[in-house]
Amino acid sequence: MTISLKQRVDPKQAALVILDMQKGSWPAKAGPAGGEEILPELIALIKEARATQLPIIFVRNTHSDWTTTRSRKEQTEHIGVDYRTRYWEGTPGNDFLEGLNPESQDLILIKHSYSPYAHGPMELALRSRGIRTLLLTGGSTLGAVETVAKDSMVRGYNIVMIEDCVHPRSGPVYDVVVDYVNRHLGITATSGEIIACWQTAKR
Amino acid sequence: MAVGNRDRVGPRNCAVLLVDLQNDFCHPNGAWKNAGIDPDLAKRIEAIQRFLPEARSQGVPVLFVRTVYNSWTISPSIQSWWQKMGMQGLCMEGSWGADFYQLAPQQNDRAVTKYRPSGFMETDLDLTLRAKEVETVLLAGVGVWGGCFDTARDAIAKSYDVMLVEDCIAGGTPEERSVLMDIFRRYHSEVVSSRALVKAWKQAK
Repeated sequence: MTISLKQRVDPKQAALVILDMQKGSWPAKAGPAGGEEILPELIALIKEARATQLPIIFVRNTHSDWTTTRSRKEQTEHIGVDYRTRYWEGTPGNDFLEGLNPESQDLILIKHSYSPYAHGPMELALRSRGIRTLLLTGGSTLGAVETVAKDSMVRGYNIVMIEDCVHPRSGPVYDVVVDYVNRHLGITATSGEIIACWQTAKR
Repeated sequence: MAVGNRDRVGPRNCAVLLVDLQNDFCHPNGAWKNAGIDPDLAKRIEAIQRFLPEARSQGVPVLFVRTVYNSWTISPSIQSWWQKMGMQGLCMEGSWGADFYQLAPQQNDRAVTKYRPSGFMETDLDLTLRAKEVETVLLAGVGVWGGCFDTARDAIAKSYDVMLVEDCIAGGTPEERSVLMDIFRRYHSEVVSSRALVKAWKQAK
């Protein structure tokens, strides 16, 4: 039984998930091609999602002394970086990137590592709302996005990774993740293809 | 209070979890219809008010674990439960009912939000306790049938050493509370008084 893209993105049973699109998530050395690169497509997608009344979940990565374990400190020390991240709780780096403006009906979910299932009411919210498909955006492609795709798939949710709304959205790592998602976890599609499905359904 | 070489209630090993101390659960005008059935509520709150400064002065982490419901976490089964209890809603996000009752987290305390009776269900409580390297959980607050008890049992399942701080737990009728404390004492773990804990802390110094 094949489930079509149109069925997967049906607003009655899908939700848009935006992962880690925060000011501090993208190091300055990434240059202008940091997470901001995907903002035009992502913002256009959010606008269309709102028009179809698709539920939207903003996931915010947050660290603090209350949630940083000894093992995490040891790991950051091992790679020579400060465990107090650029998106530390209560700092401007924790804010969402300019142009991403959650509204009161959206869910803002705080996580402290790769997966929002680990430390917040992700599954509770999905079940309470009857959501079956997650449309995944944000970054990084191999970090949070691939992790959430896998964590969602094993919990019984359908996955659509949105090719032009994840960061990075080109290069060898991206190619590997797209291939892996399409073979094992769900499907990938462009934001244009998804918006077209919503617009066709409206007619 | 030692197990092997470990001091179970040593300030560096334990944390106080203060569960559901919110208007909807405690205030006479709160949504929880059974809020008024504990005749000792005021006495319990006073005991908590005396206990928390002692814990803080020992460097014991204090976590306010509060219930919050919103349009994302209210399922049909939750709505049926509320209906059964004669409630329109409970601890709704941003409402007066969800606010803390009489006490509030101090600067070095932590507020943890939960979405169901147990403080461990889809929250960062476990991560927070592990980050603080807590081994013993001291339970206080409200809700012998719900918040306190469910959190205590999940804490046991997650391999924490758990103690109910009897005089700092409110909610339910005295009979209900007595039955649950007895069950906990016999089948789960330990029931202690705040006075015994404070005494142990002071003696250890």
